This record gives sequence, C-alpha cells and structure tokens, in this order.
Amino acid sequence: MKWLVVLVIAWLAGTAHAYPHYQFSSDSNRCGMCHVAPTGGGPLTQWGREEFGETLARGGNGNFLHGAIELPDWFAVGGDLRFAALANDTGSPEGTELAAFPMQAELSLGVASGAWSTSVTVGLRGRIRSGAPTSPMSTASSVESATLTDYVISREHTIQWKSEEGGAYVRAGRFAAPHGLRLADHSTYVRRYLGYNLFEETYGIGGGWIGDSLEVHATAFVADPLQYAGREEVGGAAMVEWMPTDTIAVGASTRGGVTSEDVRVSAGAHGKLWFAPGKLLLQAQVDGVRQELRDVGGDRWQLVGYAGPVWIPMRGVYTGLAYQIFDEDVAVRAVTRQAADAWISVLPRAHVELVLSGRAQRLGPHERAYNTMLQVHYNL
Amino acid sequence: MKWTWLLFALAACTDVDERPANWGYLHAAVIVPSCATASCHSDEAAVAGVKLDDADTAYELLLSDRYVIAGDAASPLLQLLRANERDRMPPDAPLPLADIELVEAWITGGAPR
Repeated sequence: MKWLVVLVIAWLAGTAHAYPHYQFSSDSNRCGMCHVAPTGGGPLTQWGREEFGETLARGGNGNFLHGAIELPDWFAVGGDLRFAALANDTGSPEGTELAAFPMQAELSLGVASGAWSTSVTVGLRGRIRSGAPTSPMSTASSVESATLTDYVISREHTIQWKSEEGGAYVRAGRFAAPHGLRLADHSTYVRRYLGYNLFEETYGIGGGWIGDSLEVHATAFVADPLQYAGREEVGGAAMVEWMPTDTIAVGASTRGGVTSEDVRVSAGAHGKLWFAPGKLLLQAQVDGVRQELRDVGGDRWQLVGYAGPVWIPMRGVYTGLAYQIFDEDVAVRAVTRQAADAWISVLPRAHVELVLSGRAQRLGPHERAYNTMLQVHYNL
Repeated sequence: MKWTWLLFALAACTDVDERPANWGYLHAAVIVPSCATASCHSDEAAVAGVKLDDADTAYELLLSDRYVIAGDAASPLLQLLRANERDRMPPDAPLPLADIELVEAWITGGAPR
C-alpha cells in the first residue's frame, strides 16, 4: 500500500500551465483571454467560461456551477477535482502496480478591480510523513506525524496589474515563470527537468507585454520561503513568443538559477503550427542546459526535447502523440531517457473531462517503464 | 557562441562513463532531480521520513538509517534502485542503469563524503 501512495504523489497533477491546443482551436489566441492570470492557470475569466461550453466542450454551460449562480464581474471562482486510475510497470518483481486515487483537489479565487487583480489557488498535496521507512534497518527516527496543514499548499497566489487596454502587465507572488510550450502535464520532460515539476512554482516579480502577435515575459525569482518550491534557487527567466499569423507561433525561452550546489542555465526554442482545416496542431520544444557543479567536478550539458501532434477529430475530443527526450549528460550515451506518449481527452460537457493516457519510457539502454492512466476531471 | 559547444558535446556522446563517483556529484546530478522532488523526498514532503534535498542531511540520513552501508554492494539503497526483491525507486520510472552503477561505485568505494 505504501507504494501505491507514493505513486499517487508522483502523479499528482498540476494545472499551472495551459493547453496549447485550446489556444488555436478556440477563439482565444492568448492565455490571458481565458484566465485571470496573463500567462494562464488559475481562475477563468468570463470569456474563458463561455469558450468552455461553446467551443471547447461538446456542449453545456461553462459558467460557475453550470450557470446556477451568476457571479459579479469582479469575482472569479473555480476549482479542479480529479480522480485517477493508474497501471504502472517499472519492472518491479511484484509486476504491474494498479492504483485508484484522488489526484487533485484545488480551489481558485480571483478578485479584480480595474487594472488590478489578485488570484489564489489552494489545494491538497499528497504528503506523507508517517509512511514506513523503506530501509529494513532504518530506525525510522525521522518519521514525523503530519497535521492537516501539512497537506495544504497554495501553488499560486499573485497580485497583478494588467493594462486595461492590453499590453503591459506586472505581477508578484508565487507563480511559474513563463517558459516554452507551457504544457499542462508536469511530468513531461520539458517541465520536470527544466524546473517546472509539480509544486516548483517560485516566488518572483514578473512582467511583460502581450500584444496581438507578440508576447514577452521576464521573471526574477527566489525559492519559496513559505512552502517548498523544488530547489533553493535564485534566478530569472525570460520568454518571447511571436505569432506572425493565426496559425503559427514560434518562441524562445531561457532560465538561469543558482543554488549552493550548482549553477544551471537553459535556453531553448519552441514552435506551434496549426492546420485549421484538419484541426491538427504540431508542437515542439527543445532546450539545452548547462549545469556547473560547485567543487565536485562533472559539469555537464543536457538536452531536453518534446515534439508531437494534437488532433481534434470533433468538437470536445482531443488526442495527441508525443516523443520526448532527456539527455541528462550528453557526454554519456547510457543515461539518455526517451518517452513515447499517447493520450485522448474528451470533454462531453462543459466542466467534465475524461483523459486516457499512456507513456512508454526507455531509460538508458536497459531500463523500461510503462504507465497508463485514466483521469476523471471536474472543473468547478 | 558558448552554446555551439553543445553541438560538439552531442557529437562527442560516448559509452564511456567518466562521471565522478563522489557524493557531491551524485547528490546534485542524480539524487536532487530524481529523488528530492517537491512531492517525494523533499524536506517538506519527506516520504517515509526520508529527506534528500540537502546534501549534508541526505548523506547523514542515508548512512545513519543504513540505506547505505559503506563498501557493501548489497546496501538497501541499491536494492531499491535495482528493484531486487522489492519495489522500485523511483516508483514512476527507474534510473538509467549507468546512474545506478555510479551510485554503486560510490558505495563500494567506501561512500566518502
């Protein structure tokens, strides 16, 4: 049972990022049209809620509680409940592990007044302090009991100013610095190995400019001083994305961070190409990383990549494939990780999503892992 | 200009693993990205009481709780990484064998700090 719980933790979802295929298949070419936050994530705007029912899902009312309650213009509320069933085969002697579990429970609130707004996303995290130690010889002396507050985390909370005419914005708080494709799945290599894994949002000050065909973002960040944020890191990130037409987006991103152990700098490019007649999106991202390790040797280059299509065969049905690569040290062939993903997402009605996904991984020349997951997702 | 070296590095990709088998390297290059993630063995999540995000704390814990027994290739940490008669760590996907062998080289070399 202990292992099943660990799996739950490893697969907890993050929704701090957006879905590029919604960007092109809806009438919203910018994240900030559907989300209160200018770069996506968190509570939806009224425009976003209407898109949910009228464009993205197969039908229904996308408003809060399906339109049963009308919220004032200055207030946005939302949330996500997600349950999942997982089959996980990593070559363990006990064979394929099966689990069913609550995956996500989050509430998002947004308040706006003129150009100013604030948004908060609070949810539960799978934290275990009381699990049995994994070493039979462990004294378990460091196993502590947990309290309710140990299971609560606010992934994002920001205050922001956004020009009412569009264009410039500034924000401060806890958020993920914009970078690359901004995929929703935190376990994709371009998120997991570039500082965007689950709960790795950082505290920072960011700003940028979002126009019809160009958006630019810059962020300075520090490690989360209140909740764990992945790495005790100080750094910055920048991203630019250009849409020369309604069907093409190309961008570049960079991120740098310093910890007590290393200095890590990444830079990369991404692109999105939308074939409107066939409702087919091709998207790709590639990043190079330089990690310099303090005083221990072994400085290394890394390569992270993601590429694949998303096809929308009919309204409310999305399916995709992806190839991923993470070369944790490009000088050592035996540590290259590769993955093949396949997934289908169905939104039968506004607020409801069913996702079936699978991933086959090759980890170096010898190791393999196969994961299949079914998610049932309700968006408040 | 510096990034052009990445292309040369890619071209120089080799089967020879010359990475240092010392704790400083292993912690920063293998343990932190694969084990000390925010929802697993971070200081806050501390699954099974194991905290691995600080190099000093992690080193002390691995030896004091005997996940690592210096010089012993049968150390529980290696059993976990290899899934020898027990479930796999990390649970979602194994480490590449070359990383496990690097951990083994460190342990059999006396697991120096």
